[in-house]
Amino acid sequence: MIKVNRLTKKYGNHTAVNDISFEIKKGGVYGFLGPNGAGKSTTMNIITGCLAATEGEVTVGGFDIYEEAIKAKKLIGYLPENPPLYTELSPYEYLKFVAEAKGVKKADMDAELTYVMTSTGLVDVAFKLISSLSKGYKQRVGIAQAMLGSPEIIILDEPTVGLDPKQIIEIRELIKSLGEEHTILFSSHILSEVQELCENVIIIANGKIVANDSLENLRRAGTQHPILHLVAKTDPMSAMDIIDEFEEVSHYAITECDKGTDLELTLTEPVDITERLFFAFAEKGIPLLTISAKEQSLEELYLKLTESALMDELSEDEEDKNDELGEYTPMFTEEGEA
Amino acid sequence: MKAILKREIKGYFSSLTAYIFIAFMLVVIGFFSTYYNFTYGFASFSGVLYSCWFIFLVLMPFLTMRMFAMDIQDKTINLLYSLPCRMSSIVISKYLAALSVFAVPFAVMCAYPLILSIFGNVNFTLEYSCLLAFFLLGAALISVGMFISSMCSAQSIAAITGFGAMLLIYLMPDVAGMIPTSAIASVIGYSLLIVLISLILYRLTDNQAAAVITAFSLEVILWALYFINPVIFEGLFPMMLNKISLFTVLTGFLNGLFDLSGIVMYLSVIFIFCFLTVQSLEKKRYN
Repeated sequence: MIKVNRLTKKYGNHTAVNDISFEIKKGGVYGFLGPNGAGKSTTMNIITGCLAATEGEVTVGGFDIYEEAIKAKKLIGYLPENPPLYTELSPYEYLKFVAEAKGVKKADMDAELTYVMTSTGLVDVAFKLISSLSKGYKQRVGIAQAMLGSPEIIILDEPTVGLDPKQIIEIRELIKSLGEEHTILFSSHILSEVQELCENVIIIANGKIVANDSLENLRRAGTQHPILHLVAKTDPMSAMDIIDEFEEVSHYAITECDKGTDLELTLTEPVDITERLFFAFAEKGIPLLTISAKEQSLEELYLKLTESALMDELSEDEEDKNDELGEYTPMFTEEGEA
Repeated sequence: MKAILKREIKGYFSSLTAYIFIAFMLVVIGFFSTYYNFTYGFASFSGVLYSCWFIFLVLMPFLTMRMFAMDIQDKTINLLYSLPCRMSSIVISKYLAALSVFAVPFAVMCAYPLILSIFGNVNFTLEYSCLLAFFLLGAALISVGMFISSMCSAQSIAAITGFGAMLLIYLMPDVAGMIPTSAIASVIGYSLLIVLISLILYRLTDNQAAAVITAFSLEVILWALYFINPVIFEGLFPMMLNKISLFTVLTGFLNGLFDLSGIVMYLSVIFIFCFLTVQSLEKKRYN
């Protein structure tokens, strides 16, 4: 349905979206997840033709969003981060305008307006001015305009931001029901929201896609690096000596506790080393009080993915700085020798 | 296109913009007509037009300031960008909507020569050709205002910039009169114009290289021509300013000259500024 190929967007020297590629297939609800400033809105604006990419291409239903913009845009309904509303109009007048602008036929107009207003619960406020509506209702009007013209895909940019809890629940229910008939791509920085609504998730951080899979697969990916929790009746140094012998342990955290030492080991791959650990501690005469496997939650995985993207960027910056310093070092040495 | 045109017209009339524009124009025209036609007894409406064309300086920026600046300010521009229609259709729709508002007082103005004919002999050909030129002048200024509005992110900035641009167009013949007729003065004038065009090009394309190359090439050609034959530049720049002043064209009509080239110029200005507006909005997608 949507193909994003090697998309890059630069604002001056700042790269908002950096060489991303992904595909959205027909049907279902896709979550576009990432922290604030990750590049979600920029990507969505490019997909919908509101923004031009610096590099790369986007096709919607096989139509290039720039070369065949009209055909591509007919397949998309878009709610930007700030709902684009003419507040001097009533929801009915506004939606009628959008329907006409999207080329809805006169004969289908009333049926289409009734359908979107009923689906979004706008019937009661249809003739009030948009300026007098609450934020939740304004958001509904925004979603309703995205539904007009029966687009195959509806793109919603942070549709629940700034709403109160009741409104958030209502909008989530609405998105769920929309997902039964349309392909939905919606962005959020709230993981629980994505977990509640989506089958598939694309995680973006610092302008890069760090994960693109079904929620089920992502949960499974969390178990690719199992975490073991141990409590040993010994001092931290002795425990460290034993753990260092295990190549399967990628990194660990050690804290001193009442019973001795508390250890959290992250393994490089899903292997069972509990027995070997038990005997390794036993050989040194150290009682192992607790040994249990800890599953990595989706929250932890999300944090890890987004933070590692940030760390990668920082380390790249650091390398750049080192490269610059590297140019000075020989000169300094030569001067020193002289 | 029809939907945007309808909405825009509705937008003008649901706010006070259209009413203030129409009322102000009719009051000023009515005042000058009372003074010129009914107090002094001249059966010529073109004299009234000559006296009150200054109202464009205030009214056109007022009418055009909201055209795109409001959409950019309220972020409704994203809706326009995401609609399945061409940007040129959106620009033309908005332009025609503003023109429709201007057409309302103009329609009333068209009745003045008929009313005056009751009291005296009216040269209808002259009167209506002047009215046509007056309408086209307004239409050209709307296109200029629309372009400025598409470059601004706030209505107030669009209004102030629009007023400055209208004032510059209005005072162009006076500015032309102040420029010496020597060849070097004309070359410097053209040189500054090239810099201005390059700056606009840079603003529209964000392409520094293209702007610099254009400016450099044109400057080289200009100065080469000056050194080869400086005589051709004598008085050329002031003459050009006089020729392209939109208000000067209207003066020709008021003096009884049906200037076809003037009408072509008005239509060209409308086309150029509609085109520039489309380019300005397309460029915004890159920001």
